Amino acid sequence: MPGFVAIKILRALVTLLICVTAVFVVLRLAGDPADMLLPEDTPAEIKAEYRQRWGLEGSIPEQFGRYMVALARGDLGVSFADGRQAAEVVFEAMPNTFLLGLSAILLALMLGLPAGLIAALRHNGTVDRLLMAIAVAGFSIPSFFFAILLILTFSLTLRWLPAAGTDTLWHMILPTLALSAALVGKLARYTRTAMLDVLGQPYMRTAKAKGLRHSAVMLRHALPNAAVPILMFLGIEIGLILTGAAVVETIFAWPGLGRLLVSSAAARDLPVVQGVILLVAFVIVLSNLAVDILHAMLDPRIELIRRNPAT
Amino acid sequence: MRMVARAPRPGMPWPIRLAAGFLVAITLVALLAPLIAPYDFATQNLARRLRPPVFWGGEWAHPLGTDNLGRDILSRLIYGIRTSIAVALAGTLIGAVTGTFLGYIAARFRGWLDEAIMMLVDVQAALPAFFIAIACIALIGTEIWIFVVLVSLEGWERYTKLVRGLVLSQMGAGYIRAVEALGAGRLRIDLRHVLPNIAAPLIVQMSITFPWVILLESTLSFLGLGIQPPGTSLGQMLGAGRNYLLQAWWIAVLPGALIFLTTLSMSQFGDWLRDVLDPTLDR
Repeated sequence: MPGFVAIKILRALVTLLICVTAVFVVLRLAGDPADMLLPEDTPAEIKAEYRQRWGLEGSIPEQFGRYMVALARGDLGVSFADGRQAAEVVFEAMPNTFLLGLSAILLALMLGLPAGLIAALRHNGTVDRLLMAIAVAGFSIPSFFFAILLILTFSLTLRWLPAAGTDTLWHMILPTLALSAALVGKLARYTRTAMLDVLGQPYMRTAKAKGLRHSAVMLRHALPNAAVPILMFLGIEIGLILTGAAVVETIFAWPGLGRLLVSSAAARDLPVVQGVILLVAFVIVLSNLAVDILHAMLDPRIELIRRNPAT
Repeated sequence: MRMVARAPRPGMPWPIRLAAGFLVAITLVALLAPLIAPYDFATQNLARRLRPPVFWGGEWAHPLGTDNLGRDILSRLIYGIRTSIAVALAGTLIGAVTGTFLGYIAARFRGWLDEAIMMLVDVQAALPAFFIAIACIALIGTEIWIFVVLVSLEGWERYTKLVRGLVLSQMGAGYIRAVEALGAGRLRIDLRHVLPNIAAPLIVQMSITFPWVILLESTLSFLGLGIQPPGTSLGQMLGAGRNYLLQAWWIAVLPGALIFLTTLSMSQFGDWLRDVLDPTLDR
């Protein structure tokens, strides 16, 4: 177990290091930002000044060294757009995305989990089919289309809820709904599969055979075993949430990381784009690592897989 | 070739027939776009802007209405489908071929090459294609061929993991040892015997990846980072229509509904295909 965890942590660190290097290579080697951003007739000395301010002078290895040292100190450079520290801009947006993502996950758990459980218990019945049809629709609908339907219905036609901004709790409802649709659908389907898997196990038959009440069988034996894959699902789908956030935040004018990324990409504000992307990679690697370790703790068989190279 | 005993194929249930029919129709529209579009998709007519669809008070001259520049929505939808399907198809194919190739190399050569490729898979898993695409677009801009390559990043690592595992498990299979003993070369074994035997899960994986690629394409175009005007795609139409929701809902809703129906049909069809071809593949 400790060996397994150590290897996983090492792999996560190497993955992060490659991400950091790849971002540097992609963002710096494709061209000189000073040439791309400043007007063509900019005098050479002003260009040199900008290069110095953006950390662009010197050879590529020199730049890479400075970049790594700065990164270790949490310094992402200066935003091309407004001259503030890029790290400051990124961290300012982070709590908003965290809040929106958390409320979407909570909603997904509140809707998707029961839907999946009911579908599994009514396997192949009408309720099952109906719930699964809704679930498939939930993760097939593009988040931007769903968001626009929500705005059309609840903001423009019924005038119940605001379509943009962050002033009150009411402002959170539509973005949360838009962000969680895909998650609810996937979670419902995943929960159903996990439950069906558990319900087919021999220990379930044993539990029933020894005369336990139906509710006890479900609560004591079925749910805890189905919980492992469901928990892992949330860790794995963190990327889906972050991608969805970019779209939903842009549509609902929610000042989070996603909206920041899209607007800085359009404005070619490279330090900010780089900051958001590194943060996303960091969060995903960390949550994948947490999932792996949690999985190994809950299911000791996992360690065996590592020794079998064919898997 | 090894034959695998399979359960008798169930007939196509009606929702799958419906989905398959829709996909065929969409493909025909994409192929025949120049023949069936009533107008040029870029022709503007400011005198006829923001006309509603025919059953909401519009006229038959523009059955699905016009947009803010007076362009015919039906024609724009037809060409939008053409672009979106072409980009998604190219992206899916490039991703499938690259991913399969890398998975094959990893399984065949093992060692450091295997490690390096699996590391690449890990990195892709840490950074969704959407974010890589945004970074590259921020840097290089929105040229169509770059866009297709970026879209193809969606899901390639799934093929690599799938093919690597499949090839590794096939290499030990009895029938492979048999053809080896008969003196067949490695390339012949891989192309004539291994590939046909891993084709079914590959096809299923492609049908699962295709809707993701469509979603990635339309999301980026919606955000204004994908297909640029004067070109058109479904996502781009929706993004442009967002500003006219109050006066002209149809500009955004019609392309959105088309994207939704396409991804829905494709995932329904893909699920069915998986159940028929390969019940063991996980989703």
